[in-house]
Formats: sequence, structure tokens, C-alpha cells
Amino acid sequence: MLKIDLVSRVPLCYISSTVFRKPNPSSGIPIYVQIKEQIRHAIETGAISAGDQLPGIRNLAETLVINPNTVIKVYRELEQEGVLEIRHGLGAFVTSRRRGQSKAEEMRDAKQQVHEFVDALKKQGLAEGEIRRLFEAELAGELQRR
Amino acid sequence: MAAIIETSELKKKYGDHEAVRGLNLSVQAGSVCAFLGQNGAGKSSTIKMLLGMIHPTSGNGSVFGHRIDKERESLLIRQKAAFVAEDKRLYDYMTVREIIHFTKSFFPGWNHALEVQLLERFELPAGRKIRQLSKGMRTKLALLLGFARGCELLILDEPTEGLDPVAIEDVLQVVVSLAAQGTTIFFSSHQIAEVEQVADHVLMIDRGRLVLDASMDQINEQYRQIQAVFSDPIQERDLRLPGIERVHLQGKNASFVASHNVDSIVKHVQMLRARSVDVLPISLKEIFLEKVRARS
Repeated sequence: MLKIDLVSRVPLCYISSTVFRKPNPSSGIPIYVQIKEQIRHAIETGAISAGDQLPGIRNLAETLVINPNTVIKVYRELEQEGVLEIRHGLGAFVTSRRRGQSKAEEMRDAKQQVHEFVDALKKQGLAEGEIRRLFEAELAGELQRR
Repeated sequence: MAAIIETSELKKKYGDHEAVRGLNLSVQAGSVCAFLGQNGAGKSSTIKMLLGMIHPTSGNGSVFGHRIDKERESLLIRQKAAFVAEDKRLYDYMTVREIIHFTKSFFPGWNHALEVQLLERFELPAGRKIRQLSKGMRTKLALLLGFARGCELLILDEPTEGLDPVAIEDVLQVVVSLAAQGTTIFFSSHQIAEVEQVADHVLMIDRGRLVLDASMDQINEQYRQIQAVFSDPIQERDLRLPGIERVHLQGKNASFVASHNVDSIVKHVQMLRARSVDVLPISLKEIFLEKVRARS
């Protein structure tokens, strides 16, 4: 049986602080707003995804050389907005259920995952016809099991 | 949050000269609070009074709840708070290693790991005599001695003065790291950019008086530079509204800083038949210049 979910599931990984840029303190936009936008942007572009852990408060404050209370404020507000989930003693994680993700976005994500999976199988030396048969057999098997 | 530093009508006179003229300060525990002001504005006098190093002429204050004007209590303050003075005075005849060894023997809470880390990061030559250190190295050494004390409160007078940009970033990184571990930091500075970067609260004094007491977020969200062009020349009295600081008028043009209440101010300006109103963000540096110029 094919174990598609091994590949399709987003691995839980730790996001290093290097994903984030230093804010511009003189822009007139509060630093916490700038960092919030960076995190949202990183989620939208896929630089960080559902389940990923964000850097710890001290870590991010040190990397960006900003006040740790600012980081706390960022995480707290993003938690209230449903973007992050704070697990006590563990840290801040991107929420797994992304709110307002449309069907089209889901399909687009799925398409990308299938693309990567097929690519990986090809690299293992499987021919297109073989891959197709495996997919069909898997889906047919699913149908029977129901 | 509780206040860790508090003063009430604090005054200091040197002969005829009033250096500090009735300061009411409050610094919250866990914050990184910047203390801004021009040279001679009264910053160092205030800091020295907080540490019991000079006596207030009148008024009072407390640090960790200990009275600053009581000798015994101010001793407790000096035990619990680390202070790095503006002149970074150190014993010239000692080597870097010796002064670290000497200093730490006084402080049971000494952070050994931080000492080792900073010695390396600041690239301080352990065997060199302090006499032979550059100005930047002396500053870094003085900061190391303050940072490694492991105090709940750090008071820094011009901590980054004379440091190169790389060293400044290193120092600020230590500051945010200590803040993340709960240390309260009260520092005076002329480097407004670094204040904007790491402080969460700003106290600004001018000629011994408090002229700004605001959080960094409040400054970024509420302070605005407003420029308006009117059809006819207007009077300063037309622009007396809560939130409007000093107005600069030039014929039909008006520009001023608004500290809050921006929406109502804009409506008011539009009612005065302004042809255009621009609301611009304002940096801490501009606020500083505005506050300091306001009196001239």
C-alpha cells in the first residue's frame, strides 16, 4: 500500500529566526506590527506552514535585537487572531487549521504535493504508467475498503 | 506590573543651578526604559540620586521600594542594582582578568556563563592591563562587569557611547537577552536609533523636567506630524486642541506634532477649510528635536 501521507503531511519543524528580517524602528510603524506582518507573510508564502514552531521569545528578540515584550505582544495578538497557537511550556505554533482557506487553495496545495510526490517516485526509477497504476490501485482499494 | 523605580518631585540644585526640577518618574519592572535628554538635561544627576550617590535637594524616590535618600536603604539599592557609569571608571593597574576576578568576589549572584560568553564576544584580551585598553574595550569591559552581576535591575549611563556599530549591536543583543530573562533595564542614551530598537518605554527630560513619558508603541501609533495648507492665513489660537503640541505657522501653512487625538484634529483642521492635510509618521528623533526646541 502506498503511504501518501508520509509525504503529503507537512513535517513539524522548527523555524529558525533567520526567516525574519530586522524591523525598521524609524518607519513610524510599530515594530510589533512589522513583525506580525512578516509572520503572516511567511505563512502566506509558505516559508512557514501549519504545525511549524516559531522561535522562542528570547531567541527571536536576540536575533532581531528587539525588545522581548514586543515579541510577546506579537505572539499574543497572533494567537487571538487564530494564526498562532501558544502551547504552554512548548512555544508558539502555526495553527493547523488555517482559517478561510478556500477549496481552490486546498486544491492548489494538493496539486503541489502530488507533483512533488510523483517527482520523487520518478527519481526512484518508476515509469509514468507504473505510477498511474499505483495511484489507481490505491484509490480503487480505498473504494473497496469503504 | 509594579514600578521598580519611582520618584516624586525629585529636585537637585548645585548652588544656583537647578539640574533636576521636580521629576516624577516611574519605571515598570521588566521593561527596557530609555532615558533621553540633551547633555546637561539632568540625566546623570537623576541616575546618581537613584543610586544614592548624591543626595536630592528635595522630593523623594525609591528603587525596589528602598528610599533613595536614606543611607542604609540606598546601600541595598546599590547591592541589588548594577550600574555602569558614564565615565566607565576602572582600576588602571589591573588586567582584564584581575578586575573580573576582583569584581565578582563582591557579588554572590555573579553570572559566570555570561562572563565567559561576553569575554569572548567582546574580544577582550584577558591578560592586558586596563591602562592599555582602547576606549571601546574599556566600555565593553565595564558593561561586562555590570551585565554579569546578575541583578534584577541594570542602570546604564550612555552604555554604547564610543562603541563601533558591531559592538553596539552586540551590547543591544545582551540587553534584550537579559530583558527576556526578566531583568529591568534603565538606560540613558543619545543614540535614538538604538532606543527605538530595544526600548519599550521612553522617558525624555529637558532642563531637569520630564517632557515625554510614553511607550514606544504609543509613540509609533499615536504621534503624528501633521501638515496643513489653508486657503487663508490662520492664527495659532485656531489650532489649540488637545493633542496638538507646538504649532509652526508660516502664512497659510501650518505644521505641528500631534501626540494623540489625530482623527479629531484632522476633522478640526478640515473644518478650518484646509486645502490639504497630510498626516505623516514621526520618528523619535523628530519628537526629541521638537520637545527640545519647544522651549527656545
